[in-house]
Amino acid sequence: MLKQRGTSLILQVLFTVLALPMLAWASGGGVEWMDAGKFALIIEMGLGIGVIFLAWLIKDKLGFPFPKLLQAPLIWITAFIIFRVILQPPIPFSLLAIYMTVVTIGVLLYITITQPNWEEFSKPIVFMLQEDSGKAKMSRYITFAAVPVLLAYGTYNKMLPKFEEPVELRTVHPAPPASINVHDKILNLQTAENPYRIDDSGKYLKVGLESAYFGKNPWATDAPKYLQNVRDGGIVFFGTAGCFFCHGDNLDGKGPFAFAFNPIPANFADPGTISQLQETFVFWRVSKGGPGLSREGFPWASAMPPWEKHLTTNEIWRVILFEYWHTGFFPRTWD
Amino acid sequence: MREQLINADKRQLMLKGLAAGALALLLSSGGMFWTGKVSAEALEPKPGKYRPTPPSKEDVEAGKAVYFRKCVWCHGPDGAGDGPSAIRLHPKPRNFNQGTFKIRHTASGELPTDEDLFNTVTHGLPGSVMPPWGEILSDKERRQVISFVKTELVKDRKFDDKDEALNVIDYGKQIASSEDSIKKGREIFMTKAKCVECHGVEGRGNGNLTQRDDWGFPIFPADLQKPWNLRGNRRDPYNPKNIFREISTGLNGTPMPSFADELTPEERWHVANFVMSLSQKFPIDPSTNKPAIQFVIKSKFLKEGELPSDPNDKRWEPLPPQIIGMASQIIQPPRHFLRTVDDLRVRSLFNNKEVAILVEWDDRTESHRDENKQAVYDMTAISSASFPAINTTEYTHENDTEAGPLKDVNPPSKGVYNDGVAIQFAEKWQELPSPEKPYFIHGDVKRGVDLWKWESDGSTKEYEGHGIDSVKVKEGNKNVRVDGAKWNNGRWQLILKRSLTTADKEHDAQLEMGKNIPMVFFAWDGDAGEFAGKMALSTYYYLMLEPPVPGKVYVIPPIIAGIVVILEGCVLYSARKRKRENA
Repeated sequence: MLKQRGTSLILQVLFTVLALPMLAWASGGGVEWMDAGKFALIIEMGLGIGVIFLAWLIKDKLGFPFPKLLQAPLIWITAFIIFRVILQPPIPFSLLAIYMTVVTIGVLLYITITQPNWEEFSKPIVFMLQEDSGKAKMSRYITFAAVPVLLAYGTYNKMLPKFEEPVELRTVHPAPPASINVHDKILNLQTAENPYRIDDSGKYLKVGLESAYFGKNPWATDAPKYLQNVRDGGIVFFGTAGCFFCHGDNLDGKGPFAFAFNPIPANFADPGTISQLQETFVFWRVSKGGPGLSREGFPWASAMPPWEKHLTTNEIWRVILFEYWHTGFFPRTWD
Repeated sequence: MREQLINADKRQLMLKGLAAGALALLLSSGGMFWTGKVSAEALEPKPGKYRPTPPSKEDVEAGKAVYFRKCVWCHGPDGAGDGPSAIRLHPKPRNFNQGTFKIRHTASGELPTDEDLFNTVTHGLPGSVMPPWGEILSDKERRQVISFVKTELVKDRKFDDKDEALNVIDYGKQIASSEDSIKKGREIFMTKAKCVECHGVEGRGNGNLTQRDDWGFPIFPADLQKPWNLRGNRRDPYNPKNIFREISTGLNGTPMPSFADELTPEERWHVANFVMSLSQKFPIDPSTNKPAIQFVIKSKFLKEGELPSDPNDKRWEPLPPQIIGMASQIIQPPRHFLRTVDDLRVRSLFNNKEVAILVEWDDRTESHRDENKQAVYDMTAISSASFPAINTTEYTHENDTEAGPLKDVNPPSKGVYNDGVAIQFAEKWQELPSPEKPYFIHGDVKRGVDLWKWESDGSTKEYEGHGIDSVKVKEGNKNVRVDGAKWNNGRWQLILKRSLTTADKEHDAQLEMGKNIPMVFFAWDGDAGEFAGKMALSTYYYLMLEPPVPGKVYVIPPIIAGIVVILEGCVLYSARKRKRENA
């Protein structure tokens, strides 16, 4: 009696804890104190425990028949739906296979963990195969007809030609050359520096120190030199060059032309792009554009213009300064 | 008795537990099917008199910081719609100073409600370059920046002015779309409300093209067949509510008037339902808010008969039109930022001899090269002549006077050019090591392309391309034909045909069944001054001439089924045997 009350209470608490983030998610589409991955995990755990708990509740506590034979595939299918459909962004097939293997092992353990469990699970199957009552016969006919039909259909579906887009593995950040020639000047990518990365006294600003300028107004009349350069870079990004047509007003690769391009424009707001690259690498990409990529970068498909045709060297350095300022990232450095 | 009590207790506990479990499940599944996006539901102010909330000083100050980080680049330091990007854009960024806003819930000429501005910032203005900031700025930041715009940048009117009455429209009782409602809506569209005069018979915005907005910029009526490009669609493009709202309020600053006095709410719902019935409901890609794109163009095999020569032939109907997204050619000089063709719809059929590709696209004007004809689009006016703030002819490289003026900001139009469309294949694509292809704009020095181009003067030519500046006509090759080219109510339709193989194996793409054949699309709008490199282009697509389904697909599954039946027999036999042994 007491023990039961305890169990019930624990379960209730557990569910409240699990339900909270779900509620937060449902109300605002994301929780600030938790990243999406952790969040998905909690949701899945909640659902998994929920299914098992409900099964236990319905069957053992309320006495409704809910055979293990149904429980096992239900758990498996639920897990599959979560990993395949609900979990966003979609996970690659290899990962799905690993997850589902784990789930399969879990389900097998669940049904074979004790002798009674296994018996309960296998009883209906044995019954279906061995008995001669009307019920058993009926289920036998249905099962024996359904299995080959389903397998045949599955095979047919697999064999039917689907004509998907060919899989082409593109290297997004191929190795840069040692030096490039822009506007008749040789630029050594190992040693070159951004000439606009300077403080008010005109001295080179060590990478990291520019954070003092993040979020400040580059259009203020008394803006420090660094911010004036940021503003000029922004004028290149939005005016002179028109980078925003592809890379977007928020530098997130979702500009008004982005929908038409494949590969899609780079997302500078993503921590996997410019914050992983040196400023000189970015200079190489901006000045030489798509056609300047090596073969593994698919130079024939990239719509990135070779900006040396439209911009001066100074403009390119400034636009790079602007991109780092706008996203709040720091370029990679050698130290 | 006691037993009963305990049982009752038990049951209660059970029910509690069950309720908790069910609730958790419900919540979790509810959360699961939540797309994680900002919902398409836009905030709606209550009908009737409206009082805007006066912004606090702190909000205005915080909003200023947001504005000068994110908004200033288009809307300008003074909110006059003259930021650095404005010279490239059409439609122009909003000039806040006059307090004129298009998308509202309020009566014609009135200021917008706070909810309207919040929706605009959250969902962006599709069809312009205003992006949805809902995924970028927090709710708080969006409210703050609106506070700043309302108090500091709107100068000619004041939101807290006693004389600024705001009257929110009433949606009334929404009338569900039905054949009857659409019929009534069409009637009103064509006659009573005269929508047809601007928006055209089929709603493609091909009516009156000589109008200007309040700032003197040319403005073209909306193409109602592309609801995903309508400014006020709130990323919910197939919802007639948006149309009802815009008919009711009118778009301040534009020639689009309010019909609140001319049409009853019922009539407006009918018109909204009719407008919604004009467009094909392509599935929308939530990441772009445009129709989803498939990069494989599927061409179906036609067993018997000649390929259709009429775009409206019955045999096209079972094929779904595939969307080709088009961007402006801004990569190589002459750069061009204002392409008017933003998508093509393509369908394809082939037989043993040839392939037919049906291409359809919206273009408000039918243009032919004609030295004396005046362009309908006044390109000089679209570029920045009307912007005293930036005179493009003196707009130089980053104050770097040595670099000289920018040469590519829409030079004055030289009259009218031909409309046109082209399809590009790679020369000898079978021999290119995968995934290598020629450069997507007309090829490169090493890898040539085979270009089929049609122009609205009726000419169809085949070109060999080795780059944007080296495209030459293949005079001897006459295998490409164009059938049924016709401009009608703001849309071009035509069928490009060519034999699968030709004699010139060197320069003509030889088309094969069952292979992914790389292809690129180009389009020109002559009235918009597009010619040669000034064009709309796509990225790489693949043409797939789908082979008929091979026979083995129908043979192997039954064999599998047979094997399974035999296995089942074995299982059954052994189970029975065991039963007999146990008995």
